[in-house]
Amino acid sequence: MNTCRCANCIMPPHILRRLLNHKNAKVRQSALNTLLGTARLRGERSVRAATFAPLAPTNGRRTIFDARHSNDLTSAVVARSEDGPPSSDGAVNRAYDGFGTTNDFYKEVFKRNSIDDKGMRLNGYVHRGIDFNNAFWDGEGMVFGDGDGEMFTDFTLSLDVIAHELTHGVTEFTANLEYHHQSGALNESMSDVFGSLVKQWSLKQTADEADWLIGAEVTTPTIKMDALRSLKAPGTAFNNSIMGKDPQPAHMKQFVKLPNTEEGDNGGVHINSGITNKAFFLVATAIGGHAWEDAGQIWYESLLASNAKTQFQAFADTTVVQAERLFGAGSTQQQAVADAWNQVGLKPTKVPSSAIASAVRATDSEAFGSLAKQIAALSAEVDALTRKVQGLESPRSAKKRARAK
Amino acid sequence: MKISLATSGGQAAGVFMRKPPRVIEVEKLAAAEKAELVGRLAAAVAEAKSHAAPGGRGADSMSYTIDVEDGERSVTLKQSDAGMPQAFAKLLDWLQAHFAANK
Repeated sequence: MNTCRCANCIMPPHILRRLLNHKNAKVRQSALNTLLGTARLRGERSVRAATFAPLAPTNGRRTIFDARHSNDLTSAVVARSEDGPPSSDGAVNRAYDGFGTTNDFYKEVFKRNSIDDKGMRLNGYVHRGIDFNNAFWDGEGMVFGDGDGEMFTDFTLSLDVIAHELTHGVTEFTANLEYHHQSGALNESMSDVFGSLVKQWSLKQTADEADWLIGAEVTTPTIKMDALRSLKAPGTAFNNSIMGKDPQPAHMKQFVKLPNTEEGDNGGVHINSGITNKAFFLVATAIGGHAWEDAGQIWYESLLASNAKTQFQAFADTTVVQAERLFGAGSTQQQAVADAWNQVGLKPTKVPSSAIASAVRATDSEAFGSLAKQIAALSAEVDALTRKVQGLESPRSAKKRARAK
Repeated sequence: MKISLATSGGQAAGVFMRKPPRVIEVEKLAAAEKAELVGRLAAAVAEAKSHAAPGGRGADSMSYTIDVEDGERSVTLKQSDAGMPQAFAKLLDWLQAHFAANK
């Protein structure tokens, strides 16, 4: 192992960057430790950009590090690299395989080359901390905890959690939805949606066959808990004396208002994501078949068309527009999208004329009847105006017609 | 001296785990343990003073609040998973190991 005490050494950064791609794993590790040791993992965006952007595309080259139960990731060691053999550590191999499956999903389904669509390296850190009940995306890589064995277990066990975290990276490089309130809830929802899709894709499941759960594999028998979240039925993933009841709403009427603090979950980003998660579930199951094909395409294109401040209503409207662009005005897919948003309390405001009536649920006869009456009344007014303008109706004829109503 | 550790947020942020902070009575520790803890604490405090702002809030990050009370003096250290500085990380290592060993 290179013992250069590089906190004070004169090794220039451009040489260290070249060494990141060295064929020798120990050389790569040493270079990475040096770079990480002189920069904060998240705050030093300029270092990350300078470090990774100019490198030749790596097509999602994977490196898994063992944090050896420390919270200081600069002391992590390489446990498995892209060209290395499987590890004896199951967590390392699961992270490695999960990264590969997620990357393959984005490549095959959306023609996306890794997280940034430029072949970004995929770095993962396993065994972070002690009793760490979490996994997160730190802007450069994904970090996994082993869980405390009581509330949660090893987070590498869940493919949808792995894909959830990597999708935060996709979101960061596309819409970059701000992580608070509605835009933050959309950010979380994107990760749940595509996290679930990666799992469904890997199992070749249809929308009806999928469990639509996030993190089902990280729960323990100690606590009554199905999963972290359910896209199919927000608010039902868990209900026990320790955690309380799953607080996710499934409709805008139950939107939870929280402050933008850590204690407030940044304005409820993990909570209100239930509303848009439910919308996607409804779209996917209404269309049927593989959810990543039609529904997934609509959502992915809508993510690309969104921006940092996109709110729920704007995103709903975008999905309607994208559905039309991809599948045509009044298509089954577009109707499913408009109907889904109606069901969760977000009526699309950008609905093409050919889809107005279809956007209303066929079983919602009251709403449909009211709409039909309004259209009929408008049509009658237009007819009357037209006749007057054209001078085809005498006052006597108009009176006769009025008595007939 | 009393040191408490509270955590919030993370993947399971919606869970609202209302666990109370975990507390260490420093004077009850063995001499070597005490020395190590105080040394790591001092480094973390110095590190906090030298940084303009705490690390960023990454997606699904957990946040950690370490409160230190020593008579009438007190200090609070706060960091999140993303961008956690080194000395704070090493202090958190010690605290997590201590709580795991004393469950």
